[in-house]
Amino acid sequence: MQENELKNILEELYKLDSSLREFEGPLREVISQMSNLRPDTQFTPALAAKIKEQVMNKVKEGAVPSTTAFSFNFINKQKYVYLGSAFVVVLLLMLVVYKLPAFKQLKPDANLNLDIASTNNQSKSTDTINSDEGDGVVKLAANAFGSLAAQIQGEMAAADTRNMTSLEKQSAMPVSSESAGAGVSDSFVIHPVVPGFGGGGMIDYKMIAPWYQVKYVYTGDQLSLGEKQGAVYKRLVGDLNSSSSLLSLVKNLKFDGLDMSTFNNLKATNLSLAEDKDKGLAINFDFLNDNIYISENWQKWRIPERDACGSNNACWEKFRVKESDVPSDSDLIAMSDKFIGDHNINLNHYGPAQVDNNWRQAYELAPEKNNYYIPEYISVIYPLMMNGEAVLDQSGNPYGLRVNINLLQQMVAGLNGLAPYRYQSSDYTLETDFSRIFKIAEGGSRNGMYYDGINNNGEVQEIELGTPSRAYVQYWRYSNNDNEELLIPALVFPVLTNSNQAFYGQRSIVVPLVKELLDELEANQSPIPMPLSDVEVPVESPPADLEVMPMIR
Amino acid sequence: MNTKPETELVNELVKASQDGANDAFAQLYDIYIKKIYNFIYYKTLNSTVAEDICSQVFVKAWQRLSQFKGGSFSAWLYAIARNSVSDYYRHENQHLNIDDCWDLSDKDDFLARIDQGLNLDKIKEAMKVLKNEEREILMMRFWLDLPFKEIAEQLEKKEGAVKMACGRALKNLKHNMPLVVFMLLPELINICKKMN
Repeated sequence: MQENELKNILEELYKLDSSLREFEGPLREVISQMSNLRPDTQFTPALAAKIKEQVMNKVKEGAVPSTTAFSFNFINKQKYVYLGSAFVVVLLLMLVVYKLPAFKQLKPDANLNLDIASTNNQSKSTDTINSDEGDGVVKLAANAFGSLAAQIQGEMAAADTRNMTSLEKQSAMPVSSESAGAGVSDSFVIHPVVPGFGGGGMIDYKMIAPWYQVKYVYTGDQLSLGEKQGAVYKRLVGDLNSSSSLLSLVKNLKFDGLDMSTFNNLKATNLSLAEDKDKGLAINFDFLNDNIYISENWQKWRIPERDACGSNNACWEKFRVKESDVPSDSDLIAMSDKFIGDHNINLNHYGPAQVDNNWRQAYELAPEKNNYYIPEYISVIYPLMMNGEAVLDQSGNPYGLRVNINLLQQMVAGLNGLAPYRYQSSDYTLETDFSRIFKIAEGGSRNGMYYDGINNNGEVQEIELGTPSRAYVQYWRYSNNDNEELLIPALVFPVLTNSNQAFYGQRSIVVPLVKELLDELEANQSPIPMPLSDVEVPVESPPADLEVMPMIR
Repeated sequence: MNTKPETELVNELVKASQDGANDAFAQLYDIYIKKIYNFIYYKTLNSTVAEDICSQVFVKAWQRLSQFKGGSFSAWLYAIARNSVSDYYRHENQHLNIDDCWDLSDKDDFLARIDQGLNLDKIKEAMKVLKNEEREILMMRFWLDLPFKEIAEQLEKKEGAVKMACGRALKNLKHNMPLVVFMLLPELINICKKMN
């Protein structure tokens, strides 16, 4: 390496960290050695030509780029029939595609901005200062959503309710603080799972996972935050006009004497359709939350041999997913991409696909891997993007469109999180004092500290937090008997330390940047109450022959 | 010879490729093949593996072109390459959490998988102390000769953050390199001879 170049590199580094000057001698040597040790890649024009031939052959063979048009045309295909009444399905489907304002943006000639302005009856503040700051987003005046602070109490833990049906959402309504128990809400309970048993991770809340007392230590860089105001987004959902349009067809129908016109003020909340074929899918439109879910039409996915297993464990064993059954990430993404392409789903507002490999964390720690229950489904996630930044859930996991793959059948079994991109935005005051933010991160942010309430042996595990990155985080605000989905600017601190002695699930600590949320967080970051050692905690023990493994949520 | 600035040319080629023009994609290939191949090689140190992965990267890029929505095309391409290398090692190593050859835990395994004659086994001990991202920054700066600004673009980070990480990595190496360099000296001379 040339002396000048070396000098330039060092000067660039000193500008940011002058303490490096003290080590100039050793640094010069290290940089020179790094440079000198550059391996010979054996790259030649002949090699480039050889690879090019391989690539271009595949390109010509038909590895064509997928189309970008987003439409729900797949719904119009003849293969989808309404269970019970094909004729009604066709009529209803046409209505869904052409009448529902919530889906009008899917049509190239739709005027989304007008739709939002005219049909959004949930927006309390109509003080619009800019009708559209990008496709699907209407900008409102500052603080238009009112106080965000109250949402802390109302939000539903880290649960991904966008991926719930409306019924599930209702059942997931916030509970009173008493029912959360000992000041510990559901959001930071690590749920245990019993390895070797099916049921997709269903657990008994009474089986308490081993918690460990932890201390977070920020070891990242000092950042300077200059953004005094930042946009908060609210997703727009539901439209009464759409359901009444849909019902105009249904009200004249008579089902075996039942006269639909005798009912008043009807509103469509759901529409379910299913493919009547082997490995067919079921499509559910949730009009209350403007979401679409696709799942297996379970009757068409049955495995007769497994259905006949009864209590024969050896038989069940044959149908357990083994690690070797799990395709590579790239293969899973390819399957998912194909499904997305086949159904013309628009990924304009989603980032690059990634595989949800959370299960591997517990699997790697399982002492008996053969007994570990590997889930039958694995998800490929396309994170929702807002302003060029990925949206995360409150645990720091990517949040967006999830395509679910059935590992036993090695086929895509559905998706959830598909929703029209319709938001309002409003600016809120952001915190610029980074020291305040990282102190809140060191306090565990919303989740506080995990505490070993059952087997506390006084051991404190130190967890390092690295330099945070900026992201939007999905929050739920319980307001007017409904949940509003908000996207809040936040800093995401990566958890750098992995425990070898115990499972530790949280991969990042999320701290909102909105000032009023920080005020509320600080007020609520009180120490976690110590358990009273004399009081017997009623815990239902698992059967003696079962080993309880903690599991990430 | 095309006199347009590279970014403008790349943007035009990407657009044409998205519209299905194979020849435009072939030009993109010509622009990036060396950088991408070298990047993959530094993460695998095996020419056969690097060749296979490199081929996959460009095919994947073609297949997913519709998902590229602007920004830095090279950063997007590097991301595909990085993920493809991770996928390769995770697939080949029973899904252990390995991102590149430098993560191979066993020295013999490391040596068995890299090209013969590289003699990098001892520097591995120094590289192992670095985080994957720090290692990547050092590779990009000192092996791929990319300026910090471009590295920041490829990693979608701020330039200052990349420099800080580089400084940290060098500080770490400072503690681990002297012994390594001493042990490597004869091998180093051989490598330098080869390079000359």
